[in-house]
Parts: sequence; C-alpha cells; structure tokens
Amino acid sequence: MARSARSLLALALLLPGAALAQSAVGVNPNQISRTDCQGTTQTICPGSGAVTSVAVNWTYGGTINTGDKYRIFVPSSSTTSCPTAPGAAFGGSDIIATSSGVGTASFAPSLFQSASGASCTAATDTGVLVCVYLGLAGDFTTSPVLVGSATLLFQTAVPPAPVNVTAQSATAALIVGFTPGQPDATFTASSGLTYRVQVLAQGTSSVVASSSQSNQTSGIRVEGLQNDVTYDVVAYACSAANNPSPASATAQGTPRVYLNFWQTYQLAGGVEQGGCGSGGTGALAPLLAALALLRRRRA
Amino acid sequence: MRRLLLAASLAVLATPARAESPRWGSFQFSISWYRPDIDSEFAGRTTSGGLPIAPYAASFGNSNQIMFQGVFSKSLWITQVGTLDLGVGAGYWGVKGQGIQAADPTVKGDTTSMGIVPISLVATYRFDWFVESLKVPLAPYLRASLLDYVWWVNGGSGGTASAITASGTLVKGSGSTFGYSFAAGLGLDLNFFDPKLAREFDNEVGVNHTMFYGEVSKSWVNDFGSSTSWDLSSVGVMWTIGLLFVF
Repeated sequence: MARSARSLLALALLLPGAALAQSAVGVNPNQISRTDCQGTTQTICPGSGAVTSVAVNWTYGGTINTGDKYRIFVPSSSTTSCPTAPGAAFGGSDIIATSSGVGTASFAPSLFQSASGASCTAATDTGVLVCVYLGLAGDFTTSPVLVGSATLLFQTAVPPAPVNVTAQSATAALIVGFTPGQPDATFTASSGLTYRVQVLAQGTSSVVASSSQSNQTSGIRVEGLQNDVTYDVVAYACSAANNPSPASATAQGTPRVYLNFWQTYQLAGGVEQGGCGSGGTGALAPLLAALALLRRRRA
Repeated sequence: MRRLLLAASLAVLATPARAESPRWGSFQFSISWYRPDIDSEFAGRTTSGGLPIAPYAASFGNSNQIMFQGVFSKSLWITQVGTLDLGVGAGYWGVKGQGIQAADPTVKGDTTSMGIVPISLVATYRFDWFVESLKVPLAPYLRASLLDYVWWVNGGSGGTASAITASGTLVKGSGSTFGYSFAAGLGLDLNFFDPKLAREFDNEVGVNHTMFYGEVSKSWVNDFGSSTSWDLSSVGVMWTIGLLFVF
C-alpha cells in the first residue's frame, strides 16, 4: 500500500508543476569537441585544455527514502526525449540517493559517444540526451521518477577557414589580417569563434610563433620574430568547443625595424628625455607652499 | 473698494521672484582640438635630403585630435558683477599613427601612439552682470590655468616606448611637462530658452545656470621654457566648446 502511494506520488511528480520545479539536471561542460569525443588532442586551438571528463549534476526536489537510487541513462543520439523507463545504467551502476536530493557523477567523454552512438566526426553537431531517474527502492522498472534531462552537445562541425589573409610588417612582428569565412549549412554559428594565427618558417610546417584573438576587428599581432626574415602565415578559426577550421591560404610577411614616434624624436635630436619636468616642479612649489600655508592658518 | 484692489495688486507685484538655490561652484565638460607643437623644436632644420625634420608630423600627421576635459570649481567670490572660480581639472588626449621604417624612412608601418592626461589648476572670472542684471543670456569669461601634462608614447607592441639618445642613454617615453595657459570665452545661458525647465533643474539638482560655451586659449607647455623640455603647447590657439553647470 505504502509502495503504491509512493508510486502515485512519483506519477504526480512526473507531471509538470510545482513538484518538478525544484528538480534539475545539468552537464558540465555542456559541449565537447571532435578531439574530446575521440579522446585525442590537437594543438591548433588549445583553448583551456582538452575535456577529459563530463560531470552530470542533478537536484531532486522530492522526498528521498532509504534505498532509493539514481540512474543515469544516455539513449541513442536520435532520441529527442527521455523514455518513461531507463535502459541500462550509464557507467555501469546506479547511484545511491542521499537525503539532500543533490547528486553528481563524472564520466569520460568517450563513454557518452559509445552509449549514444553519436559520431565524433559528423559534419553537423549532435545533441546527446542525458536522462536522470530516481528509482524508488532502487526499482527502475516500476514507475521510475524522471528527475530531468540535459543535452550534451557533440560539437563536431568545423568552422570555415578565414580568407583574405594578409601579413603586415612590424618591428620583430607581423600583424595578420583576415576576413572570417562565411558560415554554411554545416556550421551556422558566426559568433563565439576565436581566431588563431601561426607563423611558420618559410616553406616548412615548423611553427615559429602563434597568437590568438577572440574577434577579427583588428589584426592579430604575432611577436617574437626576426627582422628581415620572410615567414609563412596561416590562420584558423576555432569553434566554441575548440574545433579548428581547415588552414587558410598561406600568406607571407617580413618583419622590419620601424621607429616609433619616441625613437623618431630621439633620432632627430630632440631634447626631451622623459620623466617629470624639473622646471615645472620648481614653478609649482611656491603655489603648493601657499596652499599649505593657507590651510595652516585656517586650522 | 478701489483701495482694496490697489493694495491687492501691489501685493502681487511686490511678491519677490522665486529665489535661486545658493551658488557655490561649477562643473564644466569640454572638448578641444589639440595638437602639440613638438615639431617647433626642429624649426629650420632639414634632413640631408633637404626635407624638414618633423618627427611628430611624420608619425601622426598634422591633424588636430580631440581633447576631453572636465573642471570642477569652487566659487571664491560672488558679486553682482561676476564670479571668481578656482578649480581643478583633468582630461585625456590621444593620437595614433605609424612608425617609420629604419631602412627606408619613406615607408611607414607598425603602430605608434601618444597619450596625454592634462591636469590643470584653473582660475576663472565670469562676468555674470549681463545675465543677472541685463537679462542678456551671455556670460563672457577669462581664465588662467597652471598645467601639468602627463604624457606617454607607445610603440607597436603597446608598451611604453624607449629609445637610445645620441649620447647613448636609454630613455623611456613617458613623463610630465608643466606649463600655463590663458583663455577667453563666452557662455550662452541656456536657462533663457526654457526658464521652466531651468527652474526645475535648480529645484531638483541645484543647478542655477546651464551654459553652452566656446573658448579660445593659448598655452605654453614647455616646463616654463626649460631647455630640456619639448613643447606640448597647442599649435596656434586652441578652440574649445563645452557645457558649464553653475550650482
């Protein structure tokens, strides 16, 4: 009897309403790149580092009883909503529920790939559903409670390569300009991109220096180069999940020594040497003294 | 009855005009067109090719750039004729340009920039007599300022530039240069165009007068003629427009 009452309660909790309002499921990070999915690394778009684990977090707003368990279930990538009852436990085992209603578990990105069957190299992104259930007394066959779901994005689409790449000469540096490639049917995002520039020894794939920038409003300055040496330059776009675009067409540039204004002024024989003007300090001293005297008299 | 009406009329006429809030200072915000006269140091000198030496123009050109300034003043002396204000001000001016290739000075490239924060101690005498007594919305003023221009020059990588002098000393491109300026200006009292709004502004914020003003000034910013200072005086006179709030 008590069990059927709890089942009714569980059914009520499944209905949209206040009872479900406090329950939530999330994944962190909520997207992974091609290489994260494949468990490999790439150096073009290093970002903040490869994703080695994805945390599933949840909060259950209902009552937890002794013996209740959570089950994480990852359905096929073609599934758009969580089934009424979960399949086999993701990660191999259920998780004992605690009275706080809060839980978390971490998994390798490749596990989500194998469970969902999503492709790591699909031309378009794939959303993989992550469902969390509460099994009353550990039973997931009789009216399990769906705590909630979240979507882990397999961000496998690659952004278009930058075009019109130029390498403008600067002192021991090159200023690389480019135009973002046009997003197409497979990659539609035009925001959230970063741009990476690599300077290569001419005619080789040896990277001499690189730099990145989160927008394309101005050229990317690559420092640490040798003046009067010609370099090859390629640019990449990096998606939010750090998928690199194909390399742009190669441009070439040669750093030269340019004199900035201060150097030009000194070379012309200018008398200013920088620092505070002594003449001015001397002139202002009487004024400061007068102000100090006035203040003392008032006091 | 007639005497009663007359008394009532006189009472109405005798009602004093609504008093302004007490005045004690002012704030002004201005924009000026400024270019430092650095190249005057090289007047008459030419390169081996006969071209005039003008390092500022070579890097930044000959256009004036906008200088923003704000001055907060305390009124020291308020009379029927005018007001003497003493204030402090600060602002910003910046210019960006291109470097010159060492191997071929005709080729420009890389970036260079210069910035100035002008700090000022300002004494202003404003003739309020036209506004207060003649009800003419014009307030001419005279101003004298002590100036401290805190400046810096950046190279292409964005850091403060440094250079080797002819004597082989490494010098950093930052410092400050003192000077002074005199100005004359004319304020247009906007209260005359919307007295109701002006009264509300005074009641709610305490601003007695709002003026649009134009000013012409001449500065001497070269550490008072020091032989080791460059000249950050404005080229010619400097034109300024701004808004003045008297409170």
